[in-house]
Amino acid sequence: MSKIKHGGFRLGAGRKAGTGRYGEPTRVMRVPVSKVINIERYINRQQLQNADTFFNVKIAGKQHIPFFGYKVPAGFPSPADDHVEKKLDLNDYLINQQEATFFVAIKGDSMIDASIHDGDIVIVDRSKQARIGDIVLASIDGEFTVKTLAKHLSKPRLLPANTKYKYIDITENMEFEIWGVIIGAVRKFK
Amino acid sequence: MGQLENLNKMIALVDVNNFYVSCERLFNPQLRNKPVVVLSNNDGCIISRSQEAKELGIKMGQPLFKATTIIKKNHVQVLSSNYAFYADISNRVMTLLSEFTDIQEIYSIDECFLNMHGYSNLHSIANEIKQRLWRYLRMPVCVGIGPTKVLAKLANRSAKKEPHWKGVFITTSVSEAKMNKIMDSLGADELWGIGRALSLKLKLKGVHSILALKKSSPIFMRKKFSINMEKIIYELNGISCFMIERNNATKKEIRSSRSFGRNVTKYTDLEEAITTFVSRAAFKARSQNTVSGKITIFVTSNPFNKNAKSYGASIDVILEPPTLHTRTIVRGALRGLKEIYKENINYAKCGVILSNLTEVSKLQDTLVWLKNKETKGLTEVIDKVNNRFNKHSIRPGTQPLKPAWGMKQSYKSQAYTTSWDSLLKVN
Repeated sequence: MSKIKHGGFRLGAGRKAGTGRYGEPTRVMRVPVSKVINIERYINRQQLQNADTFFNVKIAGKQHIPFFGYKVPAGFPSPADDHVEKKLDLNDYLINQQEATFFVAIKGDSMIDASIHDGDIVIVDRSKQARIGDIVLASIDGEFTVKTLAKHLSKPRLLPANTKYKYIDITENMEFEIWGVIIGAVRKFK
Repeated sequence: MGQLENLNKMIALVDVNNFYVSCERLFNPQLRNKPVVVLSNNDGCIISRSQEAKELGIKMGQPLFKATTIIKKNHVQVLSSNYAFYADISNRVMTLLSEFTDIQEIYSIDECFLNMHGYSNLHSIANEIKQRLWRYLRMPVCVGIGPTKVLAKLANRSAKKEPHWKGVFITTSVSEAKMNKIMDSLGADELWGIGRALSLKLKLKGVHSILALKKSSPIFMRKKFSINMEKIIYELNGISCFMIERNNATKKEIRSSRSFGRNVTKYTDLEEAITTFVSRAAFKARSQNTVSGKITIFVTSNPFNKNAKSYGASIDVILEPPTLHTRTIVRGALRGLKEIYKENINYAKCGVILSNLTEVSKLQDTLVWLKNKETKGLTEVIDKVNNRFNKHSIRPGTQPLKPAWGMKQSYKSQAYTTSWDSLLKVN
């Protein structure tokens, strides 16, 4: 037994290296004061990406479609075809700004000449600024409608894409709002 | 205040005004500019009110039956809560807000703290936040910014309650005298972390306003109250004590409970309800990769019914070894339920709380745990089937598909963003 019972170095005492907030050993380093913020941000961002947190929101389930690297000649298939090169995600193709994107189902035939049919699901992006000629989801006096945005005598006009229907001119006493821009449509045959 | 600006540590509290009502208005233009209220589970109480509804004098938390006269007279729109929809919009709000900062603390479904450290143009950032959330999601938000969390929360209050700030209030952009004037006009119960009871105790000590609290001695108040009170005083003086905490994905406890759609007295009904809640909670525990060591079961009678006998009880069941299997937890929970069940009581609510949650990766590989692992396969398969098909395709025998005691949700909007079958339909 040694005389000293308190203090001093003890093997294996203290926190183990790598158990701190970064999950790996750290070390002290001199950096210019003006860069401290940048470095802090960089480290924090890294952590965010590592931590599998709240931030990756999926709107719909991801759809992976195997994509083959080259065309298969008729006859004996190349064994290389078994090696899938890339997976395509329809969300990547259809959606730009995920958080501002919503799906809406089409009812009726007022837009068939713009190839939007009854039962189609259209993709509405609220982050996009609507321009003349865009197909938009708008609300008029509390009712939603999908039409092409046009202008007549410096007032908005909504055009159907079907000769059976008449355009709608927006007047001051209507409650009108462009809810979002239609950036695409999906349809299933089976 | 000059000294604080040098430190340059600024924190924003962003929250959505009347969040549930704002969600409903996104997909239903007919609710705009009208009084609207959203009800709690089971259509019991009013839990979200539009500005118009607030102006009619409808109170937060008011039971629906007490407000029926005002509602009928003013054609107030009444909606059941649609939590799946609100959660989706909340996720979108939080993701958009996370893009403005390196540290975000999600504080509730509709508010979060953001680290604003290093921004020199706080006003334009705050306005950008406001505009983006309005444009992308049609969510009206208020932004309060201050050097500490307590001040950020207080700033948010000013942004919300005083319209001339237009939804953005930054404590350092007004003079200290002005800030003190605001604090002088408010009671301590307006502060983050101080409830009504605590505020009454403060008044007894002569602390009638936030300003009085700010000027009181932190050390003295710590002795009289708690270390938390000391921290609040420092925070009011611009010295940061509460850090922004990055959200930890792993929850310490998981709760699942509901009020019944009608009064329940039979044991079998309670058994069904408890089984349902255990399934739900156990699934959540598994999705964060934890095992549970304890389950609490509780039952209560209807507090509003003064004619019936009132009863409430809870019991803890220790799960040894900790487990992730619905079957095992249900067995434990039902044994607990038998202990606390009493006949001839009108039960209004029951629920379960899973706690002592440990991450599977941190468990020691004891023999008991190995045994647990062997049956993990079955539970995994069940979860997979339920994920792929219906949520309740495979379930314990005592869990009904459509329970008689189920929730009352008479005025619920559709699942606009979470189900292909209930998208908004547009001509």
